[in-house]
Amino acid sequence: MTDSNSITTTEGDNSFLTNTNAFEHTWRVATAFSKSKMVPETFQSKPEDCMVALMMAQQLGVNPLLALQNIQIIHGRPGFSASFAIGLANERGPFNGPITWTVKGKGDSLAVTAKATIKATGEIVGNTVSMEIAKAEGWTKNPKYKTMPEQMLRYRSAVWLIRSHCPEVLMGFPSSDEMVDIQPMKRVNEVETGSTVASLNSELMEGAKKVEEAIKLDKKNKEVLEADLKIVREEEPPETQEDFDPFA
Amino acid sequence: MPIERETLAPMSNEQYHALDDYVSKSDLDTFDKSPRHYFLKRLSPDRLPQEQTKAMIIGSAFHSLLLEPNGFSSEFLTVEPSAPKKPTLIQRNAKKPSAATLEAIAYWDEFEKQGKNKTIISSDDFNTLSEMVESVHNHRAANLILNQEGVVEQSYTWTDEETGERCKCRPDFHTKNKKLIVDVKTTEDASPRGFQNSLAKFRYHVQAAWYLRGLEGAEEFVFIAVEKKPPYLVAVYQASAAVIAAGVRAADSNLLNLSECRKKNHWPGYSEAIETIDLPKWCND
Repeated sequence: MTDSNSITTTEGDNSFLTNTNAFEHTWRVATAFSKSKMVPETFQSKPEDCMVALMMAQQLGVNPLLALQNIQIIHGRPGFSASFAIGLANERGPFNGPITWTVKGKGDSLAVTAKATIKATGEIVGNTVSMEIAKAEGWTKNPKYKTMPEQMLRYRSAVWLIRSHCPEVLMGFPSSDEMVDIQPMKRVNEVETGSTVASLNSELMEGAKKVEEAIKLDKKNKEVLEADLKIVREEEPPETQEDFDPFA
Repeated sequence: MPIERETLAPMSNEQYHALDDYVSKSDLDTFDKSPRHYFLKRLSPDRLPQEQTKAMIIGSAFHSLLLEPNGFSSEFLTVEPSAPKKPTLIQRNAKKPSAATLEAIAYWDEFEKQGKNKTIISSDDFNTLSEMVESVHNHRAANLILNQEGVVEQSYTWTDEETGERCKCRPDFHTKNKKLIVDVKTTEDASPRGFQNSLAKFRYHVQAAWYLRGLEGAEEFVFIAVEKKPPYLVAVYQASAAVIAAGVRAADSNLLNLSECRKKNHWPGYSEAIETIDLPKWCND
């Protein structure tokens, strides 16, 4: 951990949660970061988000700037980029040497296996992810599976390998690629419990729904009526020109 | 932390503004401009009674008409559209005034008698105000909020534990359980971008933080923004957590500095030194 190229810095430290000075300091650092144009746009002018990222960096013991570059907020949840997760695992995981991959097949039969050797036992462990699985799981909705399928499968298989052999490296944080793949269901009527505004909003939504339903019903009624009228018209004998000829 | 909270007996706007010993959100605004401004407004022995501008009159008439329509006529008097032209001094002193002039004189004498201690609102202004009120009630969220069981213009006081400053606030409306505070704002531009500018310009974030602090158990703060010009569009905005956090920071810093000034009885204006000036943040490029 003394290696200057290391992405790891110090051991995790929670002092900012109990120590006012540490908190103030972290807040000031977060504010400074949030004003920089060199941090990713999602963190610009958002000292609160920077603070959380810094806390995550501290918890994981990684360089704060690296953490800011590699934490992405997707569907409102923070996650790491897959390359960052792989870097962390290579550096502090239980593996002897970095994670490597073997690629088999092409197109729909493409399959990628991530492999690594466990330092303590010498056992070779691997995890294979194929396009078949990606399709079955619905990940291929993410267009990157069409433009760069092999890279996506590399990321996916490695993150799975990390999850099964050294989950402590990610401390429960998801990788952002996984989060893009697993889109949350639309939660339209979700209400924060106890929020007056949220409950008023859901009341408004209910009202809007009723109005919409009424409009639909009205439209349907009109369609039925028009269909009936059409039948009536068709049943009536066609009016001939002579009927209307005033000179007849 | 607020201590010694008090819910005051119902009082008029005027009475509330006359509570000199308490710091209000608008006092914080004045102090934020400079301590000198605050001193001249609140403490100086030769301070002038605050004059109401036309915008302030219209604003308070709108609040009254929207929130307490039954009390409107006790505070304001509207000139009817059918009112005769106000008689001139020459007409009043005429030896043989016409019947119409006599009628006009009688009308305006009665009007002045009725309008004693009331604020006069022109019929054009009254029409505008009525349309604005109607527009608010036509906005689904605004109407739903104002139809909640709640309290209008109740005054609250508390003491700030850290500085010992006595503080006050008077929300336009809050729900009966005090969880939701609502403030009505008339504005030139109620669009999200327009209201964002108003938040910063009129320090509405400080108000949200201040009121949420003043009411025990208050959780959320909502602005009903109404445009002053046709088509009198309305929007309802909830102050985000970041807005409230920024308001808390600004209010705390103002209050702390105010208390320092009070202790030293020193109320400076702007800096006496030569300061460097930069462009505002939004025009940095």
